[in-house]
Amino acid sequence: MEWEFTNKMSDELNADLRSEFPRLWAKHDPSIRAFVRASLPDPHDLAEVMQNVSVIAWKKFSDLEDAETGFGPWVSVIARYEILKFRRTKARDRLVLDEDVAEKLLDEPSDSFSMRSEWLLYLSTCLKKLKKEHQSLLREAYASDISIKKLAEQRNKKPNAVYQTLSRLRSALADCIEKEMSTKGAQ
Amino acid sequence: MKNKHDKLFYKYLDGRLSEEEKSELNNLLRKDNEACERLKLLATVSEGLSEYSYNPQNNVTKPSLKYVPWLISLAASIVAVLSFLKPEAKPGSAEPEVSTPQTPFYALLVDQAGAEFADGAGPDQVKFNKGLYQLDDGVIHLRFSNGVDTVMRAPATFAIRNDYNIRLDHGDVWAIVPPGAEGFTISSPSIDYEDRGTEFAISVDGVNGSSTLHVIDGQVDARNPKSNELLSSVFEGQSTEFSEGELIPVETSDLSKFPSPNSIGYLRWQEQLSFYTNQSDELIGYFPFFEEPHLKNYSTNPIVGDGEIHGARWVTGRWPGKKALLFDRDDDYVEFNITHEFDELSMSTWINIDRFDKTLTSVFVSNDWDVPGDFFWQMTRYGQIWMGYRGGNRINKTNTQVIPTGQWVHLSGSVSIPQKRVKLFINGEMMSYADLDPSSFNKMVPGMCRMGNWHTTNINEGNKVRALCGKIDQFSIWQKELSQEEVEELVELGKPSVLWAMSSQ
Repeated sequence: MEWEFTNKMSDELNADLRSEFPRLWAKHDPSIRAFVRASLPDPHDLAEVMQNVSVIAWKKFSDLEDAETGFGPWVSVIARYEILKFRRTKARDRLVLDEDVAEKLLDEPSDSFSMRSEWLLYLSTCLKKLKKEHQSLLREAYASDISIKKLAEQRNKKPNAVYQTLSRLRSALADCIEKEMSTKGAQ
Repeated sequence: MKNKHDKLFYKYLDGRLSEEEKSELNNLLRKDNEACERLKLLATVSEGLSEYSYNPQNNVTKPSLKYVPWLISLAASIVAVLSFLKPEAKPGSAEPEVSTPQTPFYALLVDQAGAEFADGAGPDQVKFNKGLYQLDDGVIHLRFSNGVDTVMRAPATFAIRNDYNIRLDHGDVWAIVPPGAEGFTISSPSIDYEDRGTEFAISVDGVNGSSTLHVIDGQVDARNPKSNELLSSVFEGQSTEFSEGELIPVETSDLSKFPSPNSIGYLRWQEQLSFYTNQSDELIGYFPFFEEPHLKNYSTNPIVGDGEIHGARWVTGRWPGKKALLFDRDDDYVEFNITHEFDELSMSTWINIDRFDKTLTSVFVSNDWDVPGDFFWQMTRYGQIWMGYRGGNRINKTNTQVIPTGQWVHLSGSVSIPQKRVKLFINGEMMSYADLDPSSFNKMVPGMCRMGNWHTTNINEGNKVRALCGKIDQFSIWQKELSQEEVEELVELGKPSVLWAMSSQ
């Protein structure tokens, strides 16, 4: 078999794409995932749509004129389309909202992407305000495939009690984020 | 209370929603804008908590890969590429940041052919973290987070220490180090090879620990691994061998044992030749383009016959070692005689077009075009492509893309008289469609026809010269209509590389 050695990777892949796209994606990934999750809460659905979105965004990245500021909203537009396309294949699923409702959730003003990024920033702040034991509970609950039942056993509590605690903590975090946002808005 | 619906939202976000509750949720969101905003916030909180809770030992985040094959998936690769993360930025510190990305790893498997790892010595799907790996079979292409590409052929044993250092205990590695990643080091048992911005190949003998370095481009420094003393700088075109404590220059020998990134696609293609030879009778022409005097049909139902090569020359195809036919003169072509009648015909090919310099360029067209049933597949000067037959009127034509030049492209098309339609695809995506009116003639009979050219004896024909300027590498003919899924599979089987898919579409 003959081989040639002149085929460099740099010939095949635009250097800008290689360096810029992953960086921008890593930066905006949490906000994009949060956007998708509201419409597709199942983690497998979420992962699948994120795959599709990333592939399309990669392919079309060169079309984006102002990547530094426009990347997040631009990917959100792609995600919106992919979510709607995906949900049509699973319309009867329990966790898939009706189409008009899904569209309502996805139709956002242009500044929503940056707002979601701020939510995530404030989430970090708000988490630090929780008691250590509550931080630990949240971390464990979301950390792996551990079930609520197992988590409850480890804490010698009933599963429902742990679930209620987790729900309260999430609501408290959401309230805290809203408060931080309004405080910031008042300044 | 703004959080009065939170319980319902959590059921939805946690996958515990009943049908009744789903209906309740839909109605609520339909009429209550504040509820929509609250749900979005709670979804963001949940997503943020998933990341906050990241723990490397627990291997938390595993994207679903069910639609893509293990290892070679472009999509999986991209998802994984997007998760590249410097280890210094990992959670695990006392106060992890919510917005940090997820699973850490140093390198990503971007392509492979027949790769098999020893039990317990393989990657986490496509991700390579710190650890020992043993490649028992096949070839792998790894990309590190700093952009370094390494290609290895089995058998190979190596340890990834971080994204700037791998230890090669045994095997052959080809490394391409881009600007900015200088300092990437491959350690052998007795010597370190530190890149200074280059491309090089290293072979390590697992028995005696000796190693050989070939510098393809740039410079590599050989250093004492204990003292970091510079032992020698090796430059482009030079080779050196380290054995029994001595570093000596050697002649550069045959480098063919080192796989290059592009060669993986060829290996994969060779492994999958059986896909075509295991097809049903519907595949009537399969031309893999092996260099032979005739263009031989390897189909198990070869009613199309072999092609007669006239003028077209054998050149390198999609990969080094793979052949294609070059058509660059007005009298270059391959001729066939297809006397059967067909209700449905599909064709697919890998083609690399240099230019469109004629009004029409032929891919595969019946000679003369004077008899009902004659077949055509040709391109316009503007890179649009059409397929059809004489007697089948194409109506409501749409065309959304043009064919790119100067790169390998997968083209395919189908004409179905029963379905009354024509479909054409570029790289697996449908780009042209037409309804078909077969009322004046309802059979396709290609007869004598040419690939890469057209022949006519009609002196009044205005576009006599329709010679292709470019290369063809593989051609298939089916007596059925290909589905979207089948076309996508053909693309997947023959794509030049994973990177081709990223960069060419």
